[in-house]
Amino acid sequence: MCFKATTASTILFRWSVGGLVGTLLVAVSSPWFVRSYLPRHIDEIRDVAVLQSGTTYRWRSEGYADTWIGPHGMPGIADAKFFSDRDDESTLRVALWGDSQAEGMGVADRFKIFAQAEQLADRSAVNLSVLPLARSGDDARSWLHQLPAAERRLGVDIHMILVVDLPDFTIAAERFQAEPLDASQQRIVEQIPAFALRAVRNLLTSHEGDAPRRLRFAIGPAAIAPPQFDQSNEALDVAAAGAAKADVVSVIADATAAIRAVTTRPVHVIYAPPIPVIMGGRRIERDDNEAILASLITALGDAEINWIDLRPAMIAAARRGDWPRGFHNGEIGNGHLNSLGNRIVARSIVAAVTETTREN
Amino acid sequence: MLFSQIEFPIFLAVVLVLTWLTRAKTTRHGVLLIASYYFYAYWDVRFCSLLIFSTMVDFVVARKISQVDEPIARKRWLVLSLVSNLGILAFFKYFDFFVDSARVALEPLGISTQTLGIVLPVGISFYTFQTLSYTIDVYRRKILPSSSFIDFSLYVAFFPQLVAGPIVRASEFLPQLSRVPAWSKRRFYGGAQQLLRGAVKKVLLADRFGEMVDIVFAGPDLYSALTLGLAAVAYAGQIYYDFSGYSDMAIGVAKMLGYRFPVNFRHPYLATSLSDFWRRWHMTLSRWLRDYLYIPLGGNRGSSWSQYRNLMVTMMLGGLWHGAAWTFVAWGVLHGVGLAVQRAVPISYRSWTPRPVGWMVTMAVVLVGWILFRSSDFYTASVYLHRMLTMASGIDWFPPLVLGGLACLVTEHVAWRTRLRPAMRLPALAWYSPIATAVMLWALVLYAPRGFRPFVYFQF
Repeated sequence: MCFKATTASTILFRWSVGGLVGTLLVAVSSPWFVRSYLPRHIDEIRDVAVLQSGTTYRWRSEGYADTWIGPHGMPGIADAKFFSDRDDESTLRVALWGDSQAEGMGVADRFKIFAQAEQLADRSAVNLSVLPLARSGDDARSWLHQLPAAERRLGVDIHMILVVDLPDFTIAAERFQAEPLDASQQRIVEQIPAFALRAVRNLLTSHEGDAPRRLRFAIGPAAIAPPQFDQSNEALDVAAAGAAKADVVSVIADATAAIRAVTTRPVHVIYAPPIPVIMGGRRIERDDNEAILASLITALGDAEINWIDLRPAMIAAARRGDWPRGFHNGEIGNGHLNSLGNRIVARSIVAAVTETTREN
Repeated sequence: MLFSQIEFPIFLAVVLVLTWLTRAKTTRHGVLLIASYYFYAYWDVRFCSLLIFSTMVDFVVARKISQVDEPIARKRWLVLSLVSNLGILAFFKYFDFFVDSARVALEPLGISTQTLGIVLPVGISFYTFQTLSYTIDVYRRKILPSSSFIDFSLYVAFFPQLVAGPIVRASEFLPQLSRVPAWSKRRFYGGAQQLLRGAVKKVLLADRFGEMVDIVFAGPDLYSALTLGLAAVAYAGQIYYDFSGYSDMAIGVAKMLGYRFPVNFRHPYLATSLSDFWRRWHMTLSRWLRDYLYIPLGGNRGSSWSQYRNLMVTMMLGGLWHGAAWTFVAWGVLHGVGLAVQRAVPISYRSWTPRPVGWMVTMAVVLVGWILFRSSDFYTASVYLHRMLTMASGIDWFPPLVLGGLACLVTEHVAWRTRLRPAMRLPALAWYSPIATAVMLWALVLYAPRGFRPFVYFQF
């Protein structure tokens, strides 16, 4: 290495060009590793923010898949199939509500809950169309807000609500507040490559989430960061909800009443809490919500809402060594539903639909 | 402060500017000393007092030793240094461990075995060994005592090596403080590249390995033998990249400031014998143990059995140095036994053994050692080893990023033995250096795991 023999301008030029080439390499290879950031818009029927139809969404951690965004922001559903099912009077249309667990961005489209349910229904000669209306971060307030329009405009016959975190369900009676869409943010997402957005996000936000990163230059001792627990397993914390134990019953009653207030169609609540789960080196099969489930099931029964408990099926699968949650690039036994977990949910949907149609 | 924290580049930039702007020696050392104490106080200002105490004791003791000729007086001063340094280390690092271990014997006698829940001061094992080596070297008349308290304080507290080494000897560092280093673009560039390489090792490789290792070692009874095997190898990768990454960053930062540190790692997983492994792994600790423990115990002198005993004692204490737990002692004993067995094998047989066989045997011992080292207790280690060796069934989990990291580990070790070695240092004028540098910088920002993960060796 001889710095003297080479002029500063030459070095600067080489490093500028080299830096650009390196950046280009990262940009070209980033789709293999970096999730996509897509703009959202308010869907005219659902009246919530959804991803743009006709785009492909990449998910690259805890699962690895490209998801086609179908009509009305429904992940994984092909446009042609959606429109042909919509025009077919003999097709039974099931709306699948839920959060990211039901959305299933971590698995390929053919392994998503709706697709597996339709495959199983085909085998059972049931003419079924499942509309994946679940969105990441959604809760019952959003589901109930969308429900009437989904029935009217999308022709939904049956509702399936996949409940993983019970608090997401028990707040059904609370008022829905539409999430604001920042137009400038949408423009940025549209125009700037995903890898650059990701880099900026990593630099500006804290490791614990999306909160702005705070630099600390003060001397210690600093507060020790609390251990990170998987909060998806949190029990319905009555105290946190500001209610006394006795109020749980009324919270649940309000939630079921809220559902019945917006629909007269059959509703099935599919309960699939994050158990079994591996945490701290232990297999946990205990459901912390057990104490309030009896009240919930009674309230649902009174409101003629069906209750499907997937805990036994999930636990049985895990005991066989087939964990319904987790991915190789995440953690087996913890996290989102994988294709096997989706199949268990899909099976319950087909069984419930078959049962409902038989009753009617 | 951690090298991998986002605040560190800002801190380093300020220190670099101030240091290179300051040409007066004393002022420069003063700036570095203040920066070093700030670096340490960033973690916990209260423990700066220990650092100051240790510095003062050894500064005074070394001067006293050099001022007297009478052997007994010299020895007394040395004992004072040993007692105070090792006493602090014993109290802060081992008090709870020994009390806990003595519980079985003491509780029936009605003696209280209440532990104190003492916080381990970061870096205490490293700076204690540094100050001890200084005093012992002065005692052995290998070096002269430092005449400048600021210089000596800087030697003890110099922030690149303060909390996790390399264990730099006074004879290597104090002479460098005798004058202000000349600015060298080449050295600065080399240091920056080494810092970047170290960050990549730590953040992109070690931390990724750590994500799997933490989960599997927390519940080895849940996982299949193959997954346990993968996690054990991943831990070998994690601890290597974590510590060698830290060493690279420390050496790189020192270079950027104009100082040289000794090499601490030389691709240890290429070792074809255990002694070879210890010549490549944490080299500054190995030579410390050799020069200040093994040789004073008798070293290679005396009968075979006394040599084995010396090896065992050295490795056992080396294990205990790593942490206050019996699993660390067992790890040291395992290596001690391995080294003794290696020594017991006749040289003719050793030279006859094909190198791949030597490598495999060495790696097997090293891997079993890492399982002991990482396990929280003997029960966990035994479950781990038993399930792994009996090909137990359980959850199969093969994280692709861990497999990719292991591919990097193998590639890096193999490439180091080829003509690619110079290229791995990314020479400033090579066409590929800017490209590789840009890719590494982007990768650090894009692909660093979310979540705080301190360096493994901080706990030691």
